[in-house]
Amino acid sequence: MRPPPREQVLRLLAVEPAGLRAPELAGLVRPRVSQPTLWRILDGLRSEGRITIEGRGRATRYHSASLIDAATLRSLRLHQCAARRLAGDPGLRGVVRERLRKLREVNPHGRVYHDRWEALLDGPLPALLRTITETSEQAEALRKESPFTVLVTPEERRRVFANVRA
Amino acid sequence: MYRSQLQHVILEIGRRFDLSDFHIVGSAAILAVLPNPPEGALTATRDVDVVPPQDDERMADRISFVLGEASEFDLEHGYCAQGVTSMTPRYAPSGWKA
Repeated sequence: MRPPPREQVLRLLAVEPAGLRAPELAGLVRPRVSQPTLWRILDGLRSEGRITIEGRGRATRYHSASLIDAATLRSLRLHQCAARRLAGDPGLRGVVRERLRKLREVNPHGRVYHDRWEALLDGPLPALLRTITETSEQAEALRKESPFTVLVTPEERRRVFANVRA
Repeated sequence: MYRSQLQHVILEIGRRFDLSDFHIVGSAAILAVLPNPPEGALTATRDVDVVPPQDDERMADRISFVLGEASEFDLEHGYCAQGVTSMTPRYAPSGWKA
């Protein structure tokens, strides 16, 4: 016996790290549900804090909050912006090192993370970019003590905040 | 994070958002209880999770935007605040706000 549509939506999102759009969800839930029913389900899950929403209108993607909450998703998107800038101009590592020095001063207790970032900054760029944007628990923990958001422009940041909501 | 930094974040939230009553959750909350906790995973944090009154999600978003990661405040001071709701501490005991 199939679980109720609400449960199906939660399970589908829980196995899709990139999230799903409403039409994709509608195509996967069985038996099919009407669009208003799907909106009601998604609204209910949102009010319970079970999903994270990204984007607007037809481009809206829904993520399972158990996989990624709004703050973590925002942080990931900010770091993707930073990674793109760094990929285009590896010389920006100097700016990042300066920020890392400041974080070390302000929060010496974050030494473990700072040391890891320093080692990555000294290594090859592809490995650094991969870690900055990786979707793993370890990378999420590292990003909390990251010097890279210094590369994010105010406009990029504003866009990320406008797009991602709980 | 140090207790003085937590105090700074609390004062800024009160000043900028005209709030006198809100909750601090997450690892930074240990600094409210222990002024000098032993160094470890809890003190490694540089952000303060803040639950606004009435679980106001819009206020939580505003706090994150104004004082959160990569904000001007964060860039200047090296620590920040993150607005969250009561749903964030999922495994907190019932009545934890009392």
